[in-house]
Amino acid sequence: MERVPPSEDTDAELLGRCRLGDEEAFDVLVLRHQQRAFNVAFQLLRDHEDAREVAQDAFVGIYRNLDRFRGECEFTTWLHQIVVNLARNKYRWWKRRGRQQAVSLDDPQAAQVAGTTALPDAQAIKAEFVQRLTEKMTELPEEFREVLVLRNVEDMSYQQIAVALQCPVGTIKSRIARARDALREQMNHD
Amino acid sequence: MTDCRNIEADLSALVDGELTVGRRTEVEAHLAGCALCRARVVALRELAAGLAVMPKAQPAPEFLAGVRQRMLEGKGPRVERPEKSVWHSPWVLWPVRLAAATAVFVGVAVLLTPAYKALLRATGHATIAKAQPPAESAPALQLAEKQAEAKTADRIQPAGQPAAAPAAPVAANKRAEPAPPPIASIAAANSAAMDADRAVPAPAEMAEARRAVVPLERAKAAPVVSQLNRDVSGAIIVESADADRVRTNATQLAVALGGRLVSAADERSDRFQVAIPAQNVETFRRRLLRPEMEKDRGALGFTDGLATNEPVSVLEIRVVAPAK
Repeated sequence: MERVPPSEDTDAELLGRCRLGDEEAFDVLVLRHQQRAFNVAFQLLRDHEDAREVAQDAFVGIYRNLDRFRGECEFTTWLHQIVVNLARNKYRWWKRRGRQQAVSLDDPQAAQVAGTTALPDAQAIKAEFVQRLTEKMTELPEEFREVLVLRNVEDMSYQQIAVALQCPVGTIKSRIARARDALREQMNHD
Repeated sequence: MTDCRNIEADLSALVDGELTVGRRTEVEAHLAGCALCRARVVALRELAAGLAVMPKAQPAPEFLAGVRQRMLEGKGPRVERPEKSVWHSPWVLWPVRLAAATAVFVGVAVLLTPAYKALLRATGHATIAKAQPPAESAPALQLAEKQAEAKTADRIQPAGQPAAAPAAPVAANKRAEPAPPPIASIAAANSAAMDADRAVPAPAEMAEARRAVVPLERAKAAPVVSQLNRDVSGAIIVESADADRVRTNATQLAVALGGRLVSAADERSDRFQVAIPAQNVETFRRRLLRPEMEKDRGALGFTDGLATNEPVSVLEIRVVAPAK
C-alpha cells in the first residue's frame, strides 16, 4: 500500500485544493482514507474484488462530485455514505443473480481468524467467537449489517450514521438494537 | 417507571454511550433492579466487542493507481445531476408532456380528417408536387423571368434606397415553392396564385416577351447557333435555325456596349448589322472571347470569326440555316 504523503491539511482543506484542480491533494485524501473505505466495503460485501471496486468507485464518485460537497458533514461521513450506497448496489446486483454471500475459509480474512486455533484457550475461544460473529453477520439483512459495521467496526456515532444513511437518529438507534438482537439470535441458534 | 419491554433500544444505546444523561440515569436505575436486563447488557457488550475486533481488511498497494485508472477509463459512478430546476419537477414535467402528447394527437387527427383533405383538394395543395408545371411551360418560365428581373432590380437598387416591397413576386413565388403553405394562409396564397394566373399572357404574347427579355444565359439551355464564320466582306456568318434569337442576342450585346442594331432588310431578313463604337469593337470582341463567355459563345456557336486586329465598327451578321 502506498504511503500517505505527509500532510497536515485537514480533509476540508484537501477538498478545497481538489476543487482547484490539485491532483496531489486528491491522492492524499485517497491514501488517507483508502483503508477505511475498503474495510467498510469488505465488511458489507465479504468479497475482496467487490470491495476494491466499490471503494475505488467511491473515490471516483467523490472526485466527480467535489462541487456537491458543501462541508455540512465530515468527509468520512460522506465517504461512508457513498461506500454504503455503492455496496448496496453491488450486493443487490449479486442478489438478482442468485449469488449467496458466505465467508469462505479460503478467504484470507477468514483464514486469519480460523488459524488462531493454536492460541491459548481464552484467546482461541474469543477468536472462534469472532469468527462465528463474522459468519453470522453475513446472514443479517443488509440494513442491519450496515449499521453494525458503521457503529462497531468504524466506531461511528449514531449521529454520523444517521447522516451517512440519511435516516433520523431515532431510526438508527432502534435499528442498531434490532440488528444486535438479530445477531444474537443467529449466534444462539448454533 | 421503565419497562423491560420498552428498554431494548436504550440498553443498546447505553452500551454505545449514546444515551442522554437523564435517560442514562433512568436506565441504570432500572438495571439495578433487573437481573435480566443486566444480562442483556453484558451480552450486548460482548457482541459489540467481538464486532470491534473483527479483522480489518487492507486494500492492495495499487489501490490509488486503481482509482486513477478508473477515472481515466471513465468507470465508476456517474456525476449526479445537480440541483434540479423547477422544470424538472413532476408538477411541471408531466403537464408539459401531456400537453405535447395532446398536441401531437390532435395534429395527426386533423391531418386525417376528411375536411382537411377536402380543403387541400379545394386549394390545390393536396397534390402540389404533381401540380408543379414543367420547367419550360409558359407560366413557370414567365415567373422565373419575373424573379430574374426582380433580382436584377434588387442588384441595381442604389445603396441606401430601400428596395420596393416585392408583394407580387412573393405571391407568385408561393406558387412555385414545393412546400405547402401553412393552413391559415392557404386561402390567401390560393387567391394570390389565381391572380398570378390571370396575369399570365397569351402564348403569343409570352413568346414575344421571352424574346424581349431572354438574356444570353437563357440561350445556354438551347443552342441555336451551330457555326459562325466571316465571309470575304467581313460579315459574321451565323449558322442558326433561329434567326430571331441570334439577332436578339447580338443586338443586346451591341446595346450593352453602347451600339445598336443598324439595319435589317426586314424583320425576317437573315442578315442584319450591328454598329459598335470604334473604341468598343475590341471590347465587343473580348466579351465574345473572354473565358467567362466561353460557355455562352459555345452555346451560341460563336467562334472567333473576328480578326483580332481588324478595326470593325459595323458588324454585319448574317444568319444562315445550318448545313444538313
